[in-house]
Amino acid sequence: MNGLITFLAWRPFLEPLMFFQERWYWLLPPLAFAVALVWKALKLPTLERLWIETIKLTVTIVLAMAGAGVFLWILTESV
Amino acid sequence: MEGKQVEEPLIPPFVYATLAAWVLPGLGHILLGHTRRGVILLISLTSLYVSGLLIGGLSVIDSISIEGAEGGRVAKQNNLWYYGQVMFNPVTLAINSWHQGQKLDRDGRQGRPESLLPPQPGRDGKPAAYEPSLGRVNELGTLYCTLAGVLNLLAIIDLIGRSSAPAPAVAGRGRIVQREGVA
Repeated sequence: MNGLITFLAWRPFLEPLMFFQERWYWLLPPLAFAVALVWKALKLPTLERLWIETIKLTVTIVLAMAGAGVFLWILTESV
Repeated sequence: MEGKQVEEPLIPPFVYATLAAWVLPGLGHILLGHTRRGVILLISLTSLYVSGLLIGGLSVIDSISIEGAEGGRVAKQNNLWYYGQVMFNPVTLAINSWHQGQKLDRDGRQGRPESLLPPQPGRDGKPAAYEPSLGRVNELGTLYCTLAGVLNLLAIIDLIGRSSAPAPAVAGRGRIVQREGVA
């Protein structure tokens, strides 16, 4: 209920969405999807396989980011 | 048979398409005949930019960042992220202009060159003009908006490449373009 009241009191564009302060990682897959979609829309010679290629690239980006995060965590913990 | 000389336009069409792509992402591709690509770019880039503004608020568009405070003086520097955001659309310039105008200086005066502080709520209980975002939401909001601008730059570069490439012959839907006098 408190969350609903907070959301109803939120002024779009004038206040940040504090919901994502703790859940910032939820925003990374949509970001990867948008980057993949734009990249494929520009690079594919025809747009027939656009959505399949976009999803493949999105998964690749998300896995690469997760892998880079794990690697850097191991590096910082071991040094 | 001698061919007629086709006059080259004074300003190449790709210049108009490039300006159109900056005013409205995807419009350049639409003007060059790549309608589906243009619509996809328009929807995806605009969604990315608007999402960034919703996540972090308008304060993510900021041409000046605060470097640090030393001896009572606040050092400011140009925010490099802003240059990426400007590449999306001229609206970024307007948002930044509004944002700088809302900032306060130490005496509470608004819109002065030395104003770096966010606005405060009014004494009558009126909320501040905007709430500055901090931490993760500011980072991700800034990243969303800057990526929208950088991807639009990529789209503009693609546009220039497409406009300078020879038009392919397409049977049926497209039209075959030939220079006059060439068999």
